[in-house]
Amino acid sequence: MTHTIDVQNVTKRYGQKTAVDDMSFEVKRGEIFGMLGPNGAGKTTTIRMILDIIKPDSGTIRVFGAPFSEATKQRIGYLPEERGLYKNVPLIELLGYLGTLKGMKRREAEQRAAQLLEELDLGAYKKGKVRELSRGMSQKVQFAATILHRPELLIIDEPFAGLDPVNTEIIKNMIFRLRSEGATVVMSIHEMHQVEEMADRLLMIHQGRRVLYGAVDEVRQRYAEKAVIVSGQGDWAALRGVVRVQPDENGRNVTLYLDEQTTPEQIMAALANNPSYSVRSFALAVPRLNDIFIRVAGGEAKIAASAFNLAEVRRESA
Amino acid sequence: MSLHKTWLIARREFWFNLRRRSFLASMFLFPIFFVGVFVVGSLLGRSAATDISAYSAVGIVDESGIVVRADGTPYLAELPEPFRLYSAEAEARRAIEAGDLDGYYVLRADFLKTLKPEAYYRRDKIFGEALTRHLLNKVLTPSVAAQVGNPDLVARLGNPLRQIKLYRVGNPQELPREALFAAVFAPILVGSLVFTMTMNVSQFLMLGLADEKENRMMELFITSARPSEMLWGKFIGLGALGLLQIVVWIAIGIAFAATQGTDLLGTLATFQLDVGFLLVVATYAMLGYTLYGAIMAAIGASVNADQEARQVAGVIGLISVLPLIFLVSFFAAPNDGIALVLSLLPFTSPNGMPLRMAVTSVPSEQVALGIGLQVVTIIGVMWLSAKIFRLGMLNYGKRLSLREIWRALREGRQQIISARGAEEAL
Repeated sequence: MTHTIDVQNVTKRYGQKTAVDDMSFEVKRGEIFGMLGPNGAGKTTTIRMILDIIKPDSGTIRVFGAPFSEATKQRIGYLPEERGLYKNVPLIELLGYLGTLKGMKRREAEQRAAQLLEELDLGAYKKGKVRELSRGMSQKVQFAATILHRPELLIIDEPFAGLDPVNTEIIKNMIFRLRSEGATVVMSIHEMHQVEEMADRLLMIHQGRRVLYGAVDEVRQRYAEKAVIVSGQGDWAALRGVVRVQPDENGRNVTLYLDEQTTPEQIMAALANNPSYSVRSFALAVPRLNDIFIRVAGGEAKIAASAFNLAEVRRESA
Repeated sequence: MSLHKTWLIARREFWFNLRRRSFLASMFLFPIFFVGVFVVGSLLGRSAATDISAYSAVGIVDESGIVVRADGTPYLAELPEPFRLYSAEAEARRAIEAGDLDGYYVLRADFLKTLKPEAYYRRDKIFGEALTRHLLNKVLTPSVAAQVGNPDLVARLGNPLRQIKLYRVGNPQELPREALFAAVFAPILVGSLVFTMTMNVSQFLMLGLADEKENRMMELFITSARPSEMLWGKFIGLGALGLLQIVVWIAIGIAFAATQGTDLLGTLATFQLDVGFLLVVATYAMLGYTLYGAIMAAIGASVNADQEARQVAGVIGLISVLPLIFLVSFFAAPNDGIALVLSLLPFTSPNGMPLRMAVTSVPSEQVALGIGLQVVTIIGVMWLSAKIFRLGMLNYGKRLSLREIWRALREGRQQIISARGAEEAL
């Protein structure tokens, strides 16, 4: 099956600086794909190359199984990071116009725009202008403009930037709904918890290179430490196979680091069979993406990253 | 290039800008201003030229023998109001002192040589041109006519050129006298209309792009249409708007002329306007719009806010208006020096060539050369504009420096620099 997006060995340089370095990844049909990375990592450049706004120096990019063409544009909805709208045009007229540029009939575009504005709680502003809206509201209008023509592929750059929790939830639900209707979604984002919650697979970029790539759960498992997190009462250090005990800051949970031979299941069995322990919760110590992100890409993680041996990480995920 | 998208963009630009307050203002206020100036001017002129009601009694002392015979009787049976005859200056002066006269004219013995009547008047009753003309038309000319005995001959002597008949070479129909004036005046008028229209709509093009750039809409558009579709759409839409503006101005002109009792079209028809000349004017207008439009598009895409765009556009506007600034040179020496250069230089020829053609007959190879230079320049400017446009439209929040433009052109690449620094956009 052809992938919705297929990026192979793409490199882009600006003068001396390599913005994107030998990047390869695929986006599968119908998935939510998260692109992660700190500012300046190369996410926006990658997106702009996918959308044929700028050309790569080398490598190939295929969208819907073919090189980018004018016809491809009709099938894509793009919400750029740097975004805005005409300030002095009534919303319905503005969206109607943008819809026609994506191949819709004027009337159809305006009907769909009216419906979307209702869903986004902006029904009352149909005839209003962007300059009359708050920042969050105009963000929602921009989102409406992106999905107006029911794109098969949605590429959204920082979709939640500047949104309050209520509006974040509204947009999030819409993204899920679009996915359930068959759309493929690529999100460039730096809020890790959103990726954890929403994305099926992820790509982490650091200094133009791919440092993490794969299914979200699988990536988290890969970075899982040999440890369990428990809460309750008992002498944790006395357990067989526990090499270190690390209480968390508020003292509620304790992380138990295990030796090479001991599995979490064995610890669980030991706790269950020993009445001197009372256990309220037991979980695998799977790291948050945030922690992985900091380990791989964060400031302090430059040292950690070299310890990780990036080359190895890349080979592993390939 | 998709014609459909170009059409969609053209239509949008047309309707959106048509509703702009600044466009409506220029479309309607501009002619209203002109009409206003005309009306006020002609009212003032008329009253100043004909109103002599302020004078109750004006004396004439004739020492030249034009108005009165040697025996003291006037040639005219009845002297028109408010004139009174006095046989001597002293008598007239006494009448002023008595309050019977506002003042008096003296026609000295050598009047036929000087043709200057001397005027003496009260401080509060200044003798204006209207009164002097009244004296000439109602007293002096009829008196001379009475002496000659043939009013026609007098009229002809008074203005010998009035009887001349004008013909355009190759056309047997007589040309009205006003056509001569129109032939010079029309290109200036048309030139300034075309200039105003070109500057007006190409500024809309520029401001539209600056607006889209300022509002960060470019990426949205280039993932919907090609840059060429965007540019041509804007060009065509705004060009149509410019045409509409001209049509409205002409319609207002015709309507206003009709209220003044003039059938403007009918009059123009008798002027035997040169179709070839009109075609050249139209061609230059179109080329001028394309050239300035392309320049304005590049400016719009390379600045950061429309305020900046306006400043740069102001300078560009000055260049195009040079032929009007050097108008005198066009009349004085239409075939050399400044006029020749300005009629050939691509940036000034849209105004310069029609102007020159109005006052002299320009060799057709020069007309062709001017058009050729225009076309070559347009191709070059279009190419450059498209580069700058592509480069500028993604560089949000930032004005392109000449150095960046030059470097990008030389290296043939697009550098993306974001408002928050190069790092982030990379």
